[in-house]
Amino acid sequence: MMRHLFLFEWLHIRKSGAFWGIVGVLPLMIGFSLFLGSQRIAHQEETMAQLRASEREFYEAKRQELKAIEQDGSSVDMWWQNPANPLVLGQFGQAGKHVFLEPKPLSALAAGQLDILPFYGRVTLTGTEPLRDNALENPFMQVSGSFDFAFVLVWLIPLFVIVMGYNVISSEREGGTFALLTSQPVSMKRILAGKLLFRYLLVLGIILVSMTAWALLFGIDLLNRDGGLLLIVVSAYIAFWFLLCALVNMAKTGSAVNAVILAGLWVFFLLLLPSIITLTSSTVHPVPSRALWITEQRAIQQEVESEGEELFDLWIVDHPKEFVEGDTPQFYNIWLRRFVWAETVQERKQEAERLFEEPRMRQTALAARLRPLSPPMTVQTWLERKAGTDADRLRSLDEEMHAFQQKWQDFFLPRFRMLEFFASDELKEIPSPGH
Amino acid sequence: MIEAIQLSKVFNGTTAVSNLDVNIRTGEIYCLLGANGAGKTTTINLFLNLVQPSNGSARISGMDVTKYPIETKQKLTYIPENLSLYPGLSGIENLQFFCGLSGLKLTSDDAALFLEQSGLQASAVHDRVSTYSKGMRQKVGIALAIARKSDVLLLDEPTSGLDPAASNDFAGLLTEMKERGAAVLMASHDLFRAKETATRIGIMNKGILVEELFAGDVTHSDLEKIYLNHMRD
Repeated sequence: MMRHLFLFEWLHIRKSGAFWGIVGVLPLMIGFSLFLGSQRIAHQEETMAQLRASEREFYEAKRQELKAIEQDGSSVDMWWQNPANPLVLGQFGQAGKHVFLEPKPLSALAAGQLDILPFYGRVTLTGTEPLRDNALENPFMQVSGSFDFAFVLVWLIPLFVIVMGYNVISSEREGGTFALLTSQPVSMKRILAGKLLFRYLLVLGIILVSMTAWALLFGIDLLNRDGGLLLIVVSAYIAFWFLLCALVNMAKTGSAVNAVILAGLWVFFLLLLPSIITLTSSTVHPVPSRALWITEQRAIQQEVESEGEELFDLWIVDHPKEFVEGDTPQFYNIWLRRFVWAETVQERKQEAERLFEEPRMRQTALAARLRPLSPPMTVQTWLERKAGTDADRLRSLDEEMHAFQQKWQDFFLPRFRMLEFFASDELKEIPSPGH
Repeated sequence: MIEAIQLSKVFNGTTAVSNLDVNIRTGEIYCLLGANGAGKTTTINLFLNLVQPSNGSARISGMDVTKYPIETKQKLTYIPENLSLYPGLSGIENLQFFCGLSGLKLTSDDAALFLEQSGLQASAVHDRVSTYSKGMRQKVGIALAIARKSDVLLLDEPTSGLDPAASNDFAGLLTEMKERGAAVLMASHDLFRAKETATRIGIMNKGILVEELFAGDVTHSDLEKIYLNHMRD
């Protein structure tokens, strides 16, 4: 029976202009979104390759310079030009290393929060510096938004599904064939199921074939576990919208009313419900304003500057064997203090940040609990998570940078504090982030 | 074959069909005559199980239609007043589709043959149904009954709006169906066609079967008088 319904549904659909419109437009949209995604990934990879190459060149140049000095026994007059100096290697100019969040297999599919949160940052002895080379440098991107596969799937494909499914039964009523259909020895539910199932498989087929073809063309690897999960998620999401079409078709309403109801459901699930979830979570767990946090950060900076020598004296008392006493160079005296102050600023900021981060995390957790109410939000979040462009992962960059900074400081600061310079062979042991 | 036992239907306090008792045997055409609102279409809808009876039962081949909706529909073909088919499909494709819903797979040649048997011109069977006249569409309905070898035909005003020649053709087809052993229940306003085609005639008024007679026992004139008398009541 299903085969029979499929066959005749195909006879109907192939004569429908709307269907051929979808066949023409949907693959192009998917292709365009994957093209933009592949370009984004290529840009990220290029940025990472350039910065890593630049780091390698910098440290290799310093090693060669130092080796030459060691071989001819010469000395360097200016301390900031001495490639053996921990400050030169860990803090100044090009010194320091970049921490990256590597693209994941499905990264090309969802830009996620990349337009507002950075995917890499620079680590030096005094701090971490998240870097942006995306939307903030190209404001037009924020105006246009990200035309990524997640946008096509979550926002646009439901509209195509509605076009394919809004009048499956109402058109039978309006065309007059309903009377004859109801007299057939098969239930209307079965006919509805057969018609919608065929349309579902058709839409799914168009999407999957388009995705596979464009992904192959743009070098996006979907033949992995996440690609398999993506297939399930796409199938389930489209099934959800076809299910809504089925429910609406079961009511004895006309095609125009069905279209309005389904458009209303689209607005509800994609616009209203996410807004309600956001409103609820931000009302239950309000987060202090960002402006307050920035003001707080500045206050900490000023506080530390005003406590200046007092803080340094305390550090001296606490770390009696971790510095050189007596007649030391001026740069040493200045930077010994600066590192103490930088460390204090960082500690105090972390403490203050917790006051802002904890409510934010509670708010995020509540939103996550409510999210299953909205299948579009669930799919969007899943895609961003698999793409590694969700807010949680991008925020984890801070943690990764701080963790690496700890390693960086552990490598350079003890040597600096004891005024011990490096030998050229030791430069090979300069730590790198565990990409 | 087609049987109504104390069949009643009440819509929101209004009686559409009241205690109808009818038994239509194989090879018989039973014509229900009555004015608009007399309960003819409701009676057909009760046999199609499109509305649930308030009382009594409607049976097709001995099976209660409410208990065996699929099985009873397997045995019948329904032709409404205005048989609408899929306009984008040909006569053959429409016939194949509706036969397929009852599990009957037809080749294009078989479908064309059945359509021709129902009186459709061979040159029209491949044309889109959107080009068909109402009479041609009714013939597709008859072809459906022939192809499915339906035991029962339920016809709701099938000749309404047909020109005399098409109406006469349709009556001829019904007679053929009767001779093939089908039991036919036809609702109509058309006294002349009822007298010419039917074996028995039932007159309904306000949901009640007020008179039942054999078509052969009355003249056209008698039938008209009897009918009008009941309508004045």
